[in-house]
Amino acid sequence: MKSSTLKQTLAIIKKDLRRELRSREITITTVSFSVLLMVVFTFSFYQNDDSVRQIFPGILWVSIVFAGTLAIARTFADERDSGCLRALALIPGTNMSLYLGKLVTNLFFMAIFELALVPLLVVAFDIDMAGKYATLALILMGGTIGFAALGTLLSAMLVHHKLREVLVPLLLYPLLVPLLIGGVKATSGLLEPEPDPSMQGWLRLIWAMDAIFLVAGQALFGKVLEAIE
Amino acid sequence: MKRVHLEQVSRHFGRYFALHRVSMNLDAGTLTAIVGANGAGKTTLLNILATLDRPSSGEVLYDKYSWKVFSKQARHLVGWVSHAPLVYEDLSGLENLHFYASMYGLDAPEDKAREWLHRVGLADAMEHRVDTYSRGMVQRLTIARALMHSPELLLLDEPLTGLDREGRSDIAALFDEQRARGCILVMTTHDLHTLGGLCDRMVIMRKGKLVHDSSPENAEQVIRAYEEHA
Repeated sequence: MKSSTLKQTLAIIKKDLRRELRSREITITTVSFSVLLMVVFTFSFYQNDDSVRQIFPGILWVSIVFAGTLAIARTFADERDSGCLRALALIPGTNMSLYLGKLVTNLFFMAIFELALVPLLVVAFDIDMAGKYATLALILMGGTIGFAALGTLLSAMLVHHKLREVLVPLLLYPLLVPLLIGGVKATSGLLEPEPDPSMQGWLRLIWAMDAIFLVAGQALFGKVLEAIE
Repeated sequence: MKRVHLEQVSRHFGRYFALHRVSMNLDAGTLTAIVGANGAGKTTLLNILATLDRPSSGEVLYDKYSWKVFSKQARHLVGWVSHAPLVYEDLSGLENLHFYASMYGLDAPEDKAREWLHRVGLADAMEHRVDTYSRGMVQRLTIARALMHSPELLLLDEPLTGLDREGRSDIAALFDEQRARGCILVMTTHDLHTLGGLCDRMVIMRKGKLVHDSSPENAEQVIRAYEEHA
């Protein structure tokens, strides 16, 4: 990566985090929504120890996807409302740095609500995670990177569309299916009392999907930016 | 950049021609004012010059570079003031300019931002959020944003909107400075009274066509030309 791209990326991250620190718009929305989902799921599905292992991975990933969609959908909202996207388009190198900057801020916002959601879900469902936190973090990180990489791209593509709030999830969810299957299966494998040998395969699928979404995101973002100018 | 040359440039949206076979030269060190009624094609022309809109036909040459090459390689030479301020309202003036200076890769971006805020008369308000600024203050900030990276082609869509007499005089002095260093300035305006001593050349557009091109010396000549041709 060129040093100018790195500087631009850092400038975008710094600016977005500063604005979020003032408004707390995304953090408050996603954290409260994920806590709400946790409460609803806990009271609806919690039965006994055996059922927990089967339903916990699904509940975890559905919560991440729903709350993550709230963060992703806002990715370029401020640039759209202020018109700054056009000013940024005139600056060389923004194809790459804008995508990377927005991707990193989305990852940061998602990490915040996951840090609130996951411990709450583990406690609420009384899951024994002793010695498994590092692997769970690896699975979550993989899923989150793929989700944010694809979501950031789609959010840019639809930034000027009137129905963007509807279209982002409509396009995002089907494309995420392989990644989500990988996430759910790997989490299920992790919860088994004995190590599940297939878990490594699911982890590899997650990281492969991440690589595809990241490469596609970087390759296509320049074209998307040209089209939305 | 010494010259921008437009040759038979048209831009149509379906069957509607926003620009129709416009040809002109824009030279370094000059300020060209483009005037005309609403819908005359002024903003479309500026968008094409900024490479934010593509001409449907005709040719735009930036020195020897075609529109396509310029749009890929030399957009940073453009400074652009549009209808919208293109700044973040929940950041301060200083934070906004610091951000843009960093994006342009300028040395000592914060110092540069402070310098420009002084130059446009916003030194006392630089730490305040932009959503507390008056319309004129936002316009000063917008102009600083467009000028801070020393563009060679400065495109100004209604740059004097919201400015009081003192503000106009300050900004006019800044434009003179840019002109003196060889920048090509193109501005649109509806305020004919300010054009007399400000511009080197006035172009009048009507229904997408260039209908008049002159070098008025005072406001009276500007208004007379406008009444005859616009």
